[in-house]
Amino acid sequence: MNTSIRILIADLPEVVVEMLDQAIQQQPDLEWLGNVQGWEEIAVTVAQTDVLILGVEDVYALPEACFYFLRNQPNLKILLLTITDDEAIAYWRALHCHQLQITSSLSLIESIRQIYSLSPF
Amino acid sequence: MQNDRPLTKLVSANGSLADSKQDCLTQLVQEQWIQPNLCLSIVSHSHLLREALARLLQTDWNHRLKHSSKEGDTSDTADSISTAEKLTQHLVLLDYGIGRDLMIPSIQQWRSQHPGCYVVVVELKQESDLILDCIEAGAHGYVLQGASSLEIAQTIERVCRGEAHCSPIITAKLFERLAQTKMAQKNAQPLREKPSLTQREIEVLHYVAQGCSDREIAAKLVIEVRTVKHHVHNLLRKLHVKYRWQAAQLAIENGWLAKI
Repeated sequence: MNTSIRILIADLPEVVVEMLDQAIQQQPDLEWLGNVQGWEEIAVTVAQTDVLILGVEDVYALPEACFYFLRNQPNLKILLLTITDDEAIAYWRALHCHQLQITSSLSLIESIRQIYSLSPF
Repeated sequence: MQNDRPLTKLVSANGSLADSKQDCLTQLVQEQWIQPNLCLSIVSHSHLLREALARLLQTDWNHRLKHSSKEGDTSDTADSISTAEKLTQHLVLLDYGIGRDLMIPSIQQWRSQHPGCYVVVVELKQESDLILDCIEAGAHGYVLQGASSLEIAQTIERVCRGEAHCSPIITAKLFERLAQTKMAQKNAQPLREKPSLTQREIEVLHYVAQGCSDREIAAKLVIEVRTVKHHVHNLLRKLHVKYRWQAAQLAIENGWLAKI
């Protein structure tokens, strides 16, 4: 049984992705699924994903495709992260959401664990 | 919406918690990595990007990373500029995420106060006019969105060698703009006459010149943000300029704000 949290990163600045890759590889309970760009690439891997971290300009506008992913994957958590400041919002089933501030790679990792543990219901 | 905000404390690059924005900024400004060759400042609203740039460039390059600073706080910017005065070689990485309206005056400020300082814009959008505006404002180099740490390090290396690099399309547009600027200078009036501005527009222009955002101006003048946007729109129209930093520059150069 796979107990690690599987993480997919999408549309974040490359330099941030490089740092997160290093940081997540060091966490035994986290599994790095990859870094992708755009909805087509996300759709290929999202079925195996527990937490999708998606870089966006506005965390308050959930992209249309995310509704589809959340409807089809009850356990999926989506963390929208702004690329211009520290704001983030975690979305999960039935459009529950939880506002966060990500101020370091460590706080992002803590947030991943926190939102993963949220009940899907 | 649940809004528990459990992770709202700011964390500085050394991992310690700060209780307020100002405390955090002070910590960031004081933070130093002692390497002899180059001092590097990172200006971004994103803690994550600052951390990423600092870590990866330190690993790849062994730069002297003087501090990370958060643009938009004038005292902090002043602090970082004043610290830079004591150093001979200093490079500033400016994140485009701070916003176009803040970025262009920031480049100008760094360049005018510290002619020896190198300025490189990172995470820049691939828009010719935007790139040209940055170059015109004084940026020594730029890195487009999606660039890796290696590409950023190579750009920094190039800039420190005194070299510039841009795509052939940008180079062609740069030539065109240079020619236009030269023509415009020939026809320019030495001093522009002050257009008829309302008292409120002058107040807004005053805060625009200080680098304040619409939200900040709204708070200072106790008016709606959309009212500020309306005044800024009118200012740009009356001054015949495209961007607010150009309006600010015009006002400062002609002394229109001297009596405020």
